[in-house]
Amino acid sequence: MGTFIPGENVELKSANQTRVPRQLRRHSQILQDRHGKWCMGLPAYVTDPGHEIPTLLAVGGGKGGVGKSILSANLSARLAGLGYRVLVIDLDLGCANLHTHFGIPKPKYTLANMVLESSKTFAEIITPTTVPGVALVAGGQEASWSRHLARGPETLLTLWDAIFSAKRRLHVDFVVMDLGAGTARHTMDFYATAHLGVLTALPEPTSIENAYVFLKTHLWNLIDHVAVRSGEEGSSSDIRTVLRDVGKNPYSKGYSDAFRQLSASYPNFVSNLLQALSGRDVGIVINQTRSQSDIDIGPAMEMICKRYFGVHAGFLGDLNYDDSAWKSLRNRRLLLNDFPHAILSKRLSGVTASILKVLGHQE
Amino acid sequence: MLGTTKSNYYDILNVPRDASKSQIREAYIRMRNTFSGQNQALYSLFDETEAQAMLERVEEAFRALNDDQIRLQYDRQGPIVAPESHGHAQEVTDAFRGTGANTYGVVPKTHQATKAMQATAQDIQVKVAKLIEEGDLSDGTLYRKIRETVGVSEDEMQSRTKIGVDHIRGIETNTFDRLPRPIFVKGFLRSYFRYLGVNNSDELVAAFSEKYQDFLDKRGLS
Repeated sequence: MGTFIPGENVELKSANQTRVPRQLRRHSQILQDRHGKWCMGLPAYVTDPGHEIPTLLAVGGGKGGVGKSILSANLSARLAGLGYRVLVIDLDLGCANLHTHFGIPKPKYTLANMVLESSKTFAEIITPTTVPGVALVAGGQEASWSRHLARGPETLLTLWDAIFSAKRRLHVDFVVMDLGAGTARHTMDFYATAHLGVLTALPEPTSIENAYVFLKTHLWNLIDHVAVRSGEEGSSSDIRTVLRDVGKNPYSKGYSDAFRQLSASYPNFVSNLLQALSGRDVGIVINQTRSQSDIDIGPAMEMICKRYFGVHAGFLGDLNYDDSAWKSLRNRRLLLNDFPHAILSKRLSGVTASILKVLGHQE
Repeated sequence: MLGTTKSNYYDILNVPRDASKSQIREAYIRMRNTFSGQNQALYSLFDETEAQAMLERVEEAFRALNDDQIRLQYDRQGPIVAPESHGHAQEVTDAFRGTGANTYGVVPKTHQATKAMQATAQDIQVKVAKLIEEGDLSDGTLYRKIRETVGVSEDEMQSRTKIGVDHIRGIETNTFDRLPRPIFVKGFLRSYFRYLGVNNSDELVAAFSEKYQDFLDKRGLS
């Protein structure tokens, strides 16, 4: 009964809707206050959508197989359990499999119907899930996605509009964007748009390396966006030249140091960039932890991100290594439903709570 | 947001100027965990020498701020900037600071402070070395003395090394009945001494294990 049914006229209710006080259902005060800063980091082709938008979460991390989809799916379910209405979108375009995490074998309609074929509207491609309060937009596995995306992320404009208007039209509180692996332009643009971008990593070198690359790419992407928004494309190319050396020079002190030096010659640009950075959050989740030293990687990465990139990336929590994740996938059921009492499920609640706290949705 | 060029002790440990002693200690442990070579989080951004350099500065900052007198002296000389006389010092024009509420310049390492700091650190090291030299290596009470000299409580030891307080006490009072199998005790002792910063703990571990084994053998015979 509580499933999320597409269509504008349908009264959509989640099971526990009454548990969230009315005032929390609005955009949180923190997000309202920093709306201007948030806009500063939006891609050039996106216009200010105003205040009436859902809270946007992105789950990224660079490397594949680090648990982005499983986190997206279960995070959505947890949020819904707290009474929020959640729309989870599979943005691993072409390699989408988020529906499987919800036990949906083959979604009837996907983003391909909307974006590639233009045969369906956004409301029509929303698939109900078994979790009350969570609805899914499947990504589609069409081979033509890559060709479509090669024409630039601007080709996704209809999707952007749909996401922003989900609050107004579908009364969605949270949109959770499950990003694909890698640092494709559209992936980074969705990440830049999120109010909070989760950086998922495993406690292993390859994943940590990719997480840093992902964060670096995010920073570069924001520089691009700020350059266009502030009309300072000239100084941005100078800045890029300086920053390129940061990566090359092994003795460099990192980006935050470069920014400090640049702020003397390009005060406006650096201050705009800082605004864009402080207008959105990055949060670190360490997945598949097996020991305390694995968990310790989280706070350590937080500190390193601050020192090296000058980006505040708070540690949101860890998810322990647990066969229940794998078993639930094999059972094709959502982890939280299949093993509600696993420690992993409790850790997922912890991460959800941290996210709500960061975004000012909860004390 | 901090860059690595800063040499202000408070910035190095990432604590406010009015941080309490326990806050400073906590921050120190966090920083030490971050930059101790084994931490995976360093991978691909910091190599071993950079991490080592960072670690040294963290140690230096902690030694200074953990000592009330040195800290007081350091605070008084706080905002003085002396770029030329000390190669590494550099003025901070930190755009990332935001409000500017906490814009302290980089503080030079004063000669007195450095000396005093080394003295405290060396003091402990000398004391510990002396204890080890004079004591019976296989005696748990010696370990207790070392622990107390370094200034680590049982609770801290337990929370940082995951050795149960029971086992810590068992080791420190030579109460072998309370200890698990020798192979575990060896591991305990290694992390125990590692946490206390006692290098070359092999002899100590070996001596204690031997005594423990003796005890077990005798008990087995009787």
